[in-house]
Amino acid sequence: MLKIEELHVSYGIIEALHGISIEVETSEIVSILGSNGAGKTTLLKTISGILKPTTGVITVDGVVINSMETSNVVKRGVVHVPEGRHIFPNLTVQDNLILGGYFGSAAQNNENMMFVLNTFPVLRQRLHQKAGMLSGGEQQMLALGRGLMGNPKMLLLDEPSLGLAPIVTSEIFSIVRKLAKEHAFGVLLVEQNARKALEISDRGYVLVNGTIELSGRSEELRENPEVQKLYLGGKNVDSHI
Amino acid sequence: MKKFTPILLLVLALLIPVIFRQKPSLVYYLNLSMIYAISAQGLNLLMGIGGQISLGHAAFMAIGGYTSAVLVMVLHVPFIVALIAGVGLSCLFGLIIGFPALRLKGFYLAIATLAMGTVVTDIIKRIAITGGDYGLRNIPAPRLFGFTFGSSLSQFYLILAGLLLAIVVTRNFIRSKSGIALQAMRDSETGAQAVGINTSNYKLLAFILASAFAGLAGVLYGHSVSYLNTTNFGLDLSINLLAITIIGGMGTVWGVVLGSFLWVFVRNLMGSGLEMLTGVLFGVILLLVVLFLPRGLSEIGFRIAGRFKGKNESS
Amino acid sequence: MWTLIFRGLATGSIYSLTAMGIVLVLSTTNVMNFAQGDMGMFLAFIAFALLMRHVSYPIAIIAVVLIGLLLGALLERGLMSKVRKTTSHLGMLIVTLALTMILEGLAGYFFGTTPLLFPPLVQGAPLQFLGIILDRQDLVSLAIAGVVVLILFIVLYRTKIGIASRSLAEDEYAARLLGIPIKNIYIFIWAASFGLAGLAGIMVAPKLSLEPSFMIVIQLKAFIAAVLGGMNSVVGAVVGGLLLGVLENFVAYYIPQIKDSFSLILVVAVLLVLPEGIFGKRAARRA
Ligand SMILES: Nc1ncnc2c1ncn2[C@@H]1O[C@H](COP(=O)(O)OP(=O)(O)O)[C@@H](O)[C@H]1O
Ligand SMILES: [Mg+2]
Repeated sequence: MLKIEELHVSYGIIEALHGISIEVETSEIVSILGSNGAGKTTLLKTISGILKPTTGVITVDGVVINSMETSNVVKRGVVHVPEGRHIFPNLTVQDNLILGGYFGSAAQNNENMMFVLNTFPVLRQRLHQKAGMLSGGEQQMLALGRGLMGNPKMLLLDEPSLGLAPIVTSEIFSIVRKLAKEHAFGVLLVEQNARKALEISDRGYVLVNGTIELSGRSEELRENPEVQKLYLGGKNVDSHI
Repeated sequence: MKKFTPILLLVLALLIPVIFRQKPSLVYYLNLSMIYAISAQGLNLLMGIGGQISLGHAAFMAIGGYTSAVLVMVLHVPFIVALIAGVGLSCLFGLIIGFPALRLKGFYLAIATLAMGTVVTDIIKRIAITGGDYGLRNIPAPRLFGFTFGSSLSQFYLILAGLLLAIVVTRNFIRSKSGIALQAMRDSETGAQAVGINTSNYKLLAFILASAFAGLAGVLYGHSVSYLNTTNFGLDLSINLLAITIIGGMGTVWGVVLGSFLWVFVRNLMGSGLEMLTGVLFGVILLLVVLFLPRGLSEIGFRIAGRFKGKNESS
Repeated sequence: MWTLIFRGLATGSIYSLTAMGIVLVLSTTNVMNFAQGDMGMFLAFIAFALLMRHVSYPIAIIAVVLIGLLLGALLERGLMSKVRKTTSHLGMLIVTLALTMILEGLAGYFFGTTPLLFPPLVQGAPLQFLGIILDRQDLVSLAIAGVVVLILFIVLYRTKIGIASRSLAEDEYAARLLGIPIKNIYIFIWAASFGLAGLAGIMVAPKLSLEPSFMIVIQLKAFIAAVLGGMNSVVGAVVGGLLLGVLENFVAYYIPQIKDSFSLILVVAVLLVLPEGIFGKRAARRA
């Protein structure tokens, strides 16, 4: 349903992505692995319409979205949960969630809100607190919940494990997996934490300096010696935490 | 050719009042233009080079003007002493105000200078010796080395000298180490700090120099117009000086001169009843400049000059 | 004592209205609007023209607020949205200065610079209540300000567009990612702030006299109120305005010598000592 072909993206004269092709199907979780500066965030920003590609095509269910404004991309069901969470710290948890459903009808938003609060019960307890008061894990849940308020067909998650304790990461990842399978949406998961990402994803791509170096089923990638050396090698795995 | 341009301009400038001898009002407007140009040259340093904003610049003109006028009228000190005192006090205030204010950034600096400017003119108005709401009248003409600059024509040369001084100082400042550092900082504060330039001292220097120019302009204004009133040095004038600087072209010495002439002449030569529309006209020009000509009207001048040069070289 | 507080609140409510407009625009669109006061001035002149043509007072108020909303929307659509792409924050500030020149010039051209008497909203002797002297005009303007503040708060805290406006002030990138139509929010913000400007203009005009520069002092006070309130919170702007009004009244009563300079010195002191304002949490980072 999400299909990216030969995508080139530049910052000024410097090209950051050099012809990338990726596909994500409904109910599928696809991870993009790559070290810092590989171009992962650039890729997601381009999908969500923050950046415009120089050439290449991005389609969702066959519709070209790469010349659309972000708000139209969101209306098409592609929701980007950014790196660093970017929740609104001085707004209440509830207001943060309401904004996730900016385009929905009241009835639809109420339903989604129930769904999000059932998925992340901690948020219900903190509904009227300022979002800035939440812990890191809770903020990540809020960011995810806020994304879910937009009825996504495709969730773009940028380093959701960043700064979280391993247990919290596992909890969030298993929720993501469950949601994707039960509610049939695609997830494009960008991670430096390759081990965790490969545990929950179906397939994966390895991004190095703006090009896809490797791709395949997650189990295969996990066994791949090069991936093991570069991304799963001993202490390096969680070193960014 | 390039070398001689300033000399040519100077000769032209020196001859202008002689040519317009029959029209003293015109010479009077020329004088006013030059006075505002001196003051705006200070803003040019502060904004164009230093990247700082001031909405209280006119207050420094008031400090210079009142200091000098009061010294001459009440204490009967010679004009030259009053002039130096006026500029000096203006500098001192520049230091006192600039030192804390320059810790503030952008918007906050704008508000702080606006407030400080208003406080200064308020205080001046409250001191009995300044004539309060009525202002100071009959301020004597400048007198130097036994010569009284009594007519607009003679004042023209005195003010021209002041303007040339301001231009030379500005030009040297732009090319000096501090000027270069400030321009680097204006373009990227972190960048300048990264290469180890301590910009705060340079900022302060720019602020003090700007105050000095305003002070000088104020002194010349008081003794040539012979009337001072604090209402003439309020936010209105500060904004107009800002407009002059931006419209003319920040960061160039000639831009502000152009801006000042434009302002004074458009304002005074508009038919009666239309004066109010100068504000509108200037506001619109200011908008257009901000939108389309970041280097101000002087850029058009440069382009024309560039074209002429091109022609000369090709022919 | 209570009379002083009441008068202070009445003046302060006007500062609050203007400060709210300034803060609303600054916190969301990052423009320090120096034309807020002058827009109020311009709209007050329009109200004056309407009243002179025997339009009733309430209708004149409503008309002026509507014109304010419209002008705000037009300004954002026609000018600010274009300028935003090409210039810095300081450039935007200068655009608003240009706006003050244009507005004051137009008002002076069409209505002249001689001060005009603006009819008060209500007439009659001041009321006495438990020994407090309550000026009728003050009472009415305080009531209007109260209602408007209430409405604005409901909009900002209970409607999607209001919540979205506040989110924009916090994190524009995140707001964009959620698909919030930022252009429309900007239009809403400018419209709201010029609507507030119109109200403030009408409420100030009867107290001072109507002339092209009459709102300058209010603009200055509103900046001070906004700074006291931390520059980024609408609540802060309201509280800052009321506080400033009350403080000023006390100072004018007990130390009249410094009444004009008091608020200015206060703002400079606050800027230097507490750049986040008295209530603000994290201002000054903008700029
Ligand atoms: N705003 C920007 N301007 C210029 N270059 C950028 C910008 N953002 C990222 N880059 C560059 O693009 C490359 C990819 O960055 P990014 O997509 O953030 O990587 P990742 O998310 O994989 O860490 C890096 O070399 C980075 O320096
Ligand atoms: Mg990244």
